[in-house]
Amino acid sequence: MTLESLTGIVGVWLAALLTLAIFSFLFKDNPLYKFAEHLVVGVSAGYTAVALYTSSVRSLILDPLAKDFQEGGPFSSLDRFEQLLLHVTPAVLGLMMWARVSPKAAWVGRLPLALFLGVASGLNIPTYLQTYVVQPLRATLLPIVPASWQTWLSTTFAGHALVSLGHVFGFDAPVASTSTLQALNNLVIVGGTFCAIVYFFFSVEHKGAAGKTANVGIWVLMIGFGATFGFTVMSRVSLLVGRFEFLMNVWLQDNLLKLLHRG
Amino acid sequence: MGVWKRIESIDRRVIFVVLIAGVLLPMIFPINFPVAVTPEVQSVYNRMESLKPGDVILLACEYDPSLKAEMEPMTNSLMRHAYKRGAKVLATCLFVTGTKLIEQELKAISDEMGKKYGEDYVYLGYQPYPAIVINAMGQDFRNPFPKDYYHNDTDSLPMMKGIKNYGSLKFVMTVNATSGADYWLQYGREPYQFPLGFAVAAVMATDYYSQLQTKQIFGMIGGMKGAAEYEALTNLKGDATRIMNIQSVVHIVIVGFILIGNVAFLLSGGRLKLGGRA
Repeated sequence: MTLESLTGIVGVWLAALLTLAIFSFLFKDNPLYKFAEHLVVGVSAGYTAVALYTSSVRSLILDPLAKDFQEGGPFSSLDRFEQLLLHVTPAVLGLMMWARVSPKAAWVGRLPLALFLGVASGLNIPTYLQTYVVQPLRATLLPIVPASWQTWLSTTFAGHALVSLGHVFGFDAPVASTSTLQALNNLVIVGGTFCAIVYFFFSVEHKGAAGKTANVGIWVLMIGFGATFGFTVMSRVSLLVGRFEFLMNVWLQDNLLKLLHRG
Repeated sequence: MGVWKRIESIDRRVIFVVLIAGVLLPMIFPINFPVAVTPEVQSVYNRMESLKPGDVILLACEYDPSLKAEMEPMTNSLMRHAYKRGAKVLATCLFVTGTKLIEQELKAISDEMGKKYGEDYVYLGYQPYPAIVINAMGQDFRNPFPKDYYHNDTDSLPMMKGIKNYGSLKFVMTVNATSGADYWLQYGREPYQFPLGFAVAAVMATDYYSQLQTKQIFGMIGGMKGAAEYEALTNLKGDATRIMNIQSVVHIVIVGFILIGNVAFLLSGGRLKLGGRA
């Protein structure tokens, strides 16, 4: 038996026993479960520390600096010195953050934190608004009148007035070819969005028309929560099935049964 | 105590035992359920089918071993399909505890399909602060990743010749079970306007249907069901199809429990007031 296959077998057994330890919580809380839980936290923290060191500290700071010194040092040219600044500045800023552990030197940590907050806000505010406000808002501007009705409406006085008003504001888009079913679908989207927003509008007491609209908003939200719940159940069941597949196929069939047969 | 009251106060461990039986029985006696393909999964498939030999895509896989069961079938299917089309795969993992797992998965599928590291696929690995990394990759992949996962100089890899930023790729597909999916939308797709597709854990899927409607993402594979649909489209029946068949039985069990619980609640004298308060 090679070392690789031996570590593989040990790994499978460890994973299986730890899975059973976690499952034991379904019966009741117990020391085995606690042990497995703490092990996950410890291993994750250790793994994260090593991964951060190798991917960031080593790749972005130590290795480039070492290479630089091997090839003549950072002061051999202006370009090299610029590279040095690029590598060292973030490292210095990162070290300054550690000053927060001492109350007397905590102010030093405020400088990189202020820089980080500024950069994060500058990156976040415009992109967030565009991604989660402007674009979704634009997507609710949908035609809710079927094409056949649009043609008929444009011949009426009110329709004609609306089209003229549209021309004044520069809305010269041709009549959208919306089927009745599509229009109904769009109406659900537009109406649902409107009612849900009314539910969160607290400047007006939820009575009368506002109350009824907010009630429809509650139903819309409930349907949304129901869909989310369904998807959450699906997600968790996938993980449960995955674990049982591992226990049944990898641990029992490929390891335990083979071991018993050999014995 | 009446029968319905007793059902209402049933020990939760009985429910667990029935659920476990619901998992084990279809595992031992397999059942096949039909898979209906949804437009959002079809859209991902169509986009992948449009790839030509030599095209490069970015596969951003962000999940860790705790979500392997749900996410791995998506990564595997997408990689197999990309390779089948002759495309090359550039991969990242901006979720620190998933870096090794993703490396193993990429290597396994690439070996299976006879693909070579550096020529057909490259794994850049992890860097902290996904939002900033995603944004920086829009200028040049070498800025956040001067070296790949294996500490090779990124420039030394043949596949990376001519690959500068998102503009050099056909599209970005993120297999995501973290808030990183939002980062890809906000810090990647929004400023750089590249085609972005999602393969997300089912628990996150409902959050992104609005992004499908706004066409901020071109398609979405949602959870195991989405993965099974993708396998049906590619005619490569794998883990997702098998797990989805088992999962469907568990869903029936859960729906049964919900129905029994509600009937028991109503018949044992519970009354539901309008507004959701009992």
